[in-house]
Amino acid sequence: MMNYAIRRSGQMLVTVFVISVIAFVVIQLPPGDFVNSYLATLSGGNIVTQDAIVALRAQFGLDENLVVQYWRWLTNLLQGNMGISFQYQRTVLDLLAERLPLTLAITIPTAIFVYMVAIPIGIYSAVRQYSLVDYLLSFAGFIFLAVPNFLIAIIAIYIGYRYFGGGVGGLFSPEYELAPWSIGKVLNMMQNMSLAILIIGTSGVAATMRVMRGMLLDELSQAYVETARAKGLGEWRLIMKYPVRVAVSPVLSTIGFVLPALISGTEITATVLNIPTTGPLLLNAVRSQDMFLAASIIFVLSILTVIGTFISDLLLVWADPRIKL
Amino acid sequence: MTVEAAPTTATAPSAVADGVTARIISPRRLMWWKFRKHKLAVASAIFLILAYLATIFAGFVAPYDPATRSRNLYAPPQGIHFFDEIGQFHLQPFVYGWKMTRDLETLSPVYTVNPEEKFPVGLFVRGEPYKLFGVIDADVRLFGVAEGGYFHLAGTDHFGRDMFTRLVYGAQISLSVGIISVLVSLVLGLVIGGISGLYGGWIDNFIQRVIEAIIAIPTIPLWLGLAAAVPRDWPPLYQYFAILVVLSLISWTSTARVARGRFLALREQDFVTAARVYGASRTRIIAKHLVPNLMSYVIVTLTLAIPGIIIGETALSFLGVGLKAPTVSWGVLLQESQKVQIIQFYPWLWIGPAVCVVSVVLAFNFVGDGARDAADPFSR
Amino acid sequence: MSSISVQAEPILSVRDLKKHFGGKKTWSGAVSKTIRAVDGVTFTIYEGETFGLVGESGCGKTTLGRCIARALDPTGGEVVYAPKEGGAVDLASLKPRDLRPYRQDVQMIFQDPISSLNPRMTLLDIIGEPMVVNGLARGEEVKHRVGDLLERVGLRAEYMVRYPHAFSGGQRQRIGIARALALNPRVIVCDEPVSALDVSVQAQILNLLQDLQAEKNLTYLFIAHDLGVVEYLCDRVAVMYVGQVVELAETSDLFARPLHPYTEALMSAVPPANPRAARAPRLLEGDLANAANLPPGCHFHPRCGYCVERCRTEEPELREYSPGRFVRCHRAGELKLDGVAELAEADL
Ligand SMILES: Nc1ncnc2c1ncn2[C@@H]1O[C@H](COP(=O)(O)OP(=O)(O)O)[C@@H](O)[C@H]1O
Ligand code: SF4
Ligand SMILES: [Mg+2]
Repeated sequence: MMNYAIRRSGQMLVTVFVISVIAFVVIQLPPGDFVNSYLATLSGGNIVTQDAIVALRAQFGLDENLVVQYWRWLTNLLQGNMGISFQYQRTVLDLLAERLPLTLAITIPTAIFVYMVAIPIGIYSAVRQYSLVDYLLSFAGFIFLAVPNFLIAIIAIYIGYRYFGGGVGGLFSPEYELAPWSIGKVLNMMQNMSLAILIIGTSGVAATMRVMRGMLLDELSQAYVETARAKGLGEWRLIMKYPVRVAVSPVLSTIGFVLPALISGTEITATVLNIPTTGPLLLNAVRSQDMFLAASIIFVLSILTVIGTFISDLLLVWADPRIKL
Repeated sequence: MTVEAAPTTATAPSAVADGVTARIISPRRLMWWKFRKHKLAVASAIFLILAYLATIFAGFVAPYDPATRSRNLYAPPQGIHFFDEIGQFHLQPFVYGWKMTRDLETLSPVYTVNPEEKFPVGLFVRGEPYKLFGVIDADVRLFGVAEGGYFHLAGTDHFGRDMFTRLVYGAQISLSVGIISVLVSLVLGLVIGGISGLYGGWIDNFIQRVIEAIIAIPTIPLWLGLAAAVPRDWPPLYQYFAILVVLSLISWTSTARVARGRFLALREQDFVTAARVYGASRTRIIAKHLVPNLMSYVIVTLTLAIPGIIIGETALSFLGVGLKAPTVSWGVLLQESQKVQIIQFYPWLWIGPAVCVVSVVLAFNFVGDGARDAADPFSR
Repeated sequence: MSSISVQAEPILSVRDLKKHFGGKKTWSGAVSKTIRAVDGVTFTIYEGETFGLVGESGCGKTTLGRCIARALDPTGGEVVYAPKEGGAVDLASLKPRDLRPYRQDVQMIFQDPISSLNPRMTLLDIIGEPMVVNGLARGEEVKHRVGDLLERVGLRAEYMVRYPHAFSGGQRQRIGIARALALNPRVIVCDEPVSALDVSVQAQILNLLQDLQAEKNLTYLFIAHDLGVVEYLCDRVAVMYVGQVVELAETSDLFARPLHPYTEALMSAVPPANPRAARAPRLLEGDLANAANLPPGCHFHPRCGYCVERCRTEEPELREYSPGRFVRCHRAGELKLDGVAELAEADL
């Protein structure tokens, strides 16, 4: 276990390193360096002194070669100095501290929602293979797999206006928007967030359900299941006792794919629904080529998925020692 | 010495008689037989072929030019009728014209059916002239109404442009992005996955780490970041290729994983050992023994990767960092209908492209599922 | 098959051959355990004979066979080959380029009829490729030769346009044999060529191999775990246990009077040729030793019924017990071990 954790951490560090290189490439890609784009984004009123420009160039070593620049950027990053957003005139760290919690507050419950819903549905579908419900679920799964999150969000907005006469989106309904914090406001926020979770979770549920169904079907075709059945064990007890446990592990270990997809979904859905996560921030940053901000968001989101996957891997191994280390 | 019974024709439905004249059942034919059993996959494949044909013959399939404006702004789709208002049957279907009034409060146009105006809908009618494939002068359109009338199957947008036409032209971009990106991924994935699987060692390790890193990065944020590098002032064609590259830069990983896995598995097969023992060169082994045996798996992966790319283009354009008007793609069409008022009052503007995206993605998923089963024609 | 003629020349001399897997440092710093799949094997094969190699699954037979055919690069040792013309060469140490001329002379037949044929090639390509690659024939000539070979192994020449999936397991093995013959080799490494086949088909393939040997003066290294097949086919037999030869003898001697307890155990595990021959089976108990973590002393001692103190600490050497008979056991000779042949005879 300890060995596994150490080996896995080593791998994780390499992955993080590669991600940091990719994030740095993202910063470098747009033509011109940051200070130029900084100056380009300046509108009247914001006068930058020549000194400030020189200081900026020096801090990030813009006049040196790319490797040095990367190294400066990385060491700055590791010390929490992610640079400044030219557009917002604030440090990136500040902006992230403001927006990131909400991204997590939506993504983590969504991940839980996905597995809590998909696993039981998958089990039911597998056990009742070829039943009407199985067909309906499989069909719905295919559809939801094909409808991107942002379309579901648009449909939700449409339905909201059309049938409920109210706007959908935002973190608060208009009546709470400016109101001070209260129980009502918290409930309202949770209501709005649960809609987002539902929207983001659908395709995850569709995908995970299919994996669960497939895994369990494989397991159910094993000989030992027949033996247990012959011994007269009750159908559901038999299934829950062993096959489900075996099938669940690989399903849970899909988190390495599910988590990045959920974060992607959170960001784009939040943009459509106008929820102030890092999504709209990233989009703005990209539109105005505020690359420090953009790359930092990408980097931090990726690191979060890597850590999330790491933790869930460890938990899986801890819970199920049969997994090969 | 006695010879065993005549060859058994594995899973062939029409077992072939012995002898030279017998039809030779190639593995490819076996795959086709297996694929054919999946009715949904076959239907989806036909649908996709038609969709791609429609993009090639866009001028013929679309009743108008994508830039042509009509007087009717924000007009909803016109229903096709066989029975008129007094219940009389018409062999040739027709559509009603619109009567426009304005909502006194919002000033937005309100359309009601005008029973006085009927435009019979015909096939192969002469319409606006266009250039087929961009070169051949033509004016026959697949369907339409006689001159003086108008027919907007999927409604019109804020300039009164025909949405159906724009969907057809949008398909040209959205569908080709899927195919071309996937071909780029194919080359990248095969080469990188092949190197990884064949050389092993630290190269393999390094490539695996890079792939893991790319998988760990949430796709849409990374696409956004890469798309930021595409200069705003590039001409549409450049932007198109730039977005294509951005999309491929991520989607090659799945191909590479599959290619690597198959290379590793195939390398251990006895027929590869045999080839080494009789002195076949490395290049020959790769070209004649490895690649032909992994292509079917790679093609399946690619088929299943296309939906992701189409959704990717749509998402990027929808967010305003991908393709931009005047280019027409499904994502651009969605982007134009992003405002809450449009979502609410002119739903055909987003339902059209949404239905297109979803049906194409579904179809590719079904085809991919059928192909996955057919990729290994010797199983079961 | 009778014992070999006295004037036979050595064609392959295997000297202290080794093949170790793993044991490399990986990038993350972990060191995998070395698997000693083949660990110092020495024997000589004479021209025209069938040399058997037996042992439990996983004892390294395939690895040894592949090292000899240079499908694998040995870790150490020599495989000295005496070509028709020119002096002896060590196949084990030749660079791939220098190896080419000798490759034609040593070919392989595989165990698995499924994976040994490329499913995407027709028989013409499968059997013709070795000729094309080695420049022995081209164009129509290839077709001609492939047709002849197919007929020689008992298939019809017209089949050459077909793909392997259209054939049964036995037919596929015939195809594999035709491929091995395509280069007119002198030595063929037969890696359990019949063990994946139905019993009824096994005899046909074995007969074919024997006919071909007589016709083309082939030398076989015949790998098997089925002692019956070995007794029927081989002139001499080497018994392998975790990467080492533990006994080597002429077939009749070995079966009449095994000298190594492992050989005896192997023989007792096979049902006797005559089912009435009642005998207490001395079944092999326990598992094959782990080639990555070998027991000290005699590697067989944890499973050996004759084990004494010395066996636990001191590793026996392979020694020549009598002319042409080799054994790796401290107690060889002092034990009275059961063979197979004498029982069968006694019963007649
Ligand atoms: N490529 C390889 N890598 C690591 N270990 C191997 C490899 N090939 C064979 N081995 C190991 O070497 C041993 C001998 O295998 P093999 O030669 O296939 O035995 P046999 O043919 O007698 O059944 C086994 O323990 C096997 O696991
Ligand atoms: S050396 Fe000892 S343990 Fe090994 S085989 Fe001989 S008697 Fe048995
Ligand atoms: Mg073997």
